[in-house]
Amino acid sequence: MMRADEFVELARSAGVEKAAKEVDVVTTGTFGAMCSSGVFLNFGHADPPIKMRRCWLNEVPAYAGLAAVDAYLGATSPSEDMGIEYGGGHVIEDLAKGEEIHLRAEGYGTDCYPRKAIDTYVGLEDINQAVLLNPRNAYERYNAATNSTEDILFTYMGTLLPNFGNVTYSGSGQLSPLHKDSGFETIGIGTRIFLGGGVGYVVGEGTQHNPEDRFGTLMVRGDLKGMNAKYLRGATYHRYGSTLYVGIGIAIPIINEGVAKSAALSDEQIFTEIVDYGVPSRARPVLRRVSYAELRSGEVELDGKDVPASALSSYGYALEIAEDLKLKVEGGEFLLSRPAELLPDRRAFRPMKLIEAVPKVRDLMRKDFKTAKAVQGLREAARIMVEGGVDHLPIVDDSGRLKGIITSWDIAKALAKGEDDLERVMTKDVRTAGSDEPIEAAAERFSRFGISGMPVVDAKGIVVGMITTDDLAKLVKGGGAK
Amino acid sequence: MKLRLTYTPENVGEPILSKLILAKGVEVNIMEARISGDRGTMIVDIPLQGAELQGVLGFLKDRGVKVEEIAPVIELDEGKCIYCGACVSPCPVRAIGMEGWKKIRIDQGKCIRCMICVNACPVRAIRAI
Repeated sequence: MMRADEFVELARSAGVEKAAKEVDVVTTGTFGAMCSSGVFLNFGHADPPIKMRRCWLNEVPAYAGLAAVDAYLGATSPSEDMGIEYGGGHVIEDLAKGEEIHLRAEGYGTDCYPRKAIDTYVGLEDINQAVLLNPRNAYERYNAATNSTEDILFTYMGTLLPNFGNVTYSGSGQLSPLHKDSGFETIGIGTRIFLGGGVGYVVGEGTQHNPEDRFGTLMVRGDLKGMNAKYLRGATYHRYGSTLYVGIGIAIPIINEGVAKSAALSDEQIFTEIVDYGVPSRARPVLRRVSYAELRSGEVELDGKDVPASALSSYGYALEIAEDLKLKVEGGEFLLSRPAELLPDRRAFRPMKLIEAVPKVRDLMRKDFKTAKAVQGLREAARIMVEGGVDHLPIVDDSGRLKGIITSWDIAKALAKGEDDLERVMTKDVRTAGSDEPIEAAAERFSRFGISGMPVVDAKGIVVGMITTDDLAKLVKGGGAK
Repeated sequence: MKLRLTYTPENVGEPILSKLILAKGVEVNIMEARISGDRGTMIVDIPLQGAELQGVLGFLKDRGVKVEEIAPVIELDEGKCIYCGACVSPCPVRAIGMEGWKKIRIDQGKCIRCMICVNACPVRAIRAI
């Protein structure tokens, strides 16, 4: 019996083959924000009885469209009174702690369920079932995040400083349950696991399970009544939402050489991608591949610079979970189970089908834009603007690369001041748009920076179009975007 | 030592910090300043201790500035902390680090009271005092 990190060390010094002979079971652990988590609750019947149509737990709305007194409370549901500072994840933690929860419900009244309102307090002891049922947990790995924009971003990957100021990541790397059985040879439907400090089971593949890209996930269930609030922590990501930190551990039997090899993978051999969360699109650009070892070192190299990196999930807790599970397996308290069916190792991973495409900058930008070069001077620039009927004129170099921008207002100001050097008049720190950006992202920058036009540039900074607030008006009229 | 300075309508127009720097040759790092026409508060960091610090405090008090010492600026509740690291890399002055995998260390001397870590902590274990 060994923790996965201990097995990695043994395999490093003695070789995988010898390590596999010495060790029967490797225990894993992870403790991170798992937003797709929640709890099924059955409150028992009131007298007179109610058929709940809507219900709230500590003012957090739960889904009550199930029979009369069943509800599902999701971790990311924000409360009506405190918003994301207290959400479904916090209610789950409070229930696990044994605290009483304020239950409010409304019904519409039927012949068999005449009651229309409930206002009471219940604890875990008072309710029939409290089953944690998490549709997507224990991601095999996750993207690391950084931010190319000039503004601080608050995301589900935490706080991202401007200009690639930091990198955040999640996942326990060499302790990650699914990475230690990456062929899905031992984990499957019915596998008994450590869940939230108690016992749980794998229900099957998690939602968005994407094994081919090493983004496997699990759907898990367990009895909340047997769990420990230490391993179920309500959390809030600033300006993003509430969530639940879930502790999961899986004991992996070393049944063959393939499983042994996978269990022996070290942080140096487990990779993920650093992704730019500054781009508000599903297809966020990947900046580079990175190992969990480099991430865990606290600094990551980006464009020749050492950028601070830190985790969102807790490696310390992951170690504790793997250790706890190891002791329980050794002590005979926790029995391994053979899965009824293994998890799929192939799955199509689809984006959402949209019947109406979101317009992009390229759909609305002007492609017949005017530009000028700094050497042409202010008078010539003014003439181009008047002739072209434009209020914004990008200033470019000989290869068409953006150097600055002048507006009709700049020209008016220059005239008033008697200034005639174009290079001194133009704005050099220009806000730009990309042609693949959703139009909403560009619109947001127009209002945030109080500007009315942006040159559209490609990756090399060459101007390929011009977008103005006037072009956005085309959307309202129903033209432009296809 | 970080100090909170409160100016009154009588002294807010005077360049007291400039005079202090010239008189004592001390480096003053202004971390926060809220000055309006008739009053103001400032948070400054003065890298002195003992008698030298007392000299600075006396200089300010003689000119009618109310001086309060600011003890630890950021407090970590170790009972709540899950040592995840969500506060570590967002700190713009690298004042927060991990000590092994089960402890977060905050360097109060480097802290500039930006509050980023307070908001970044998912379990609200950090607060500013």
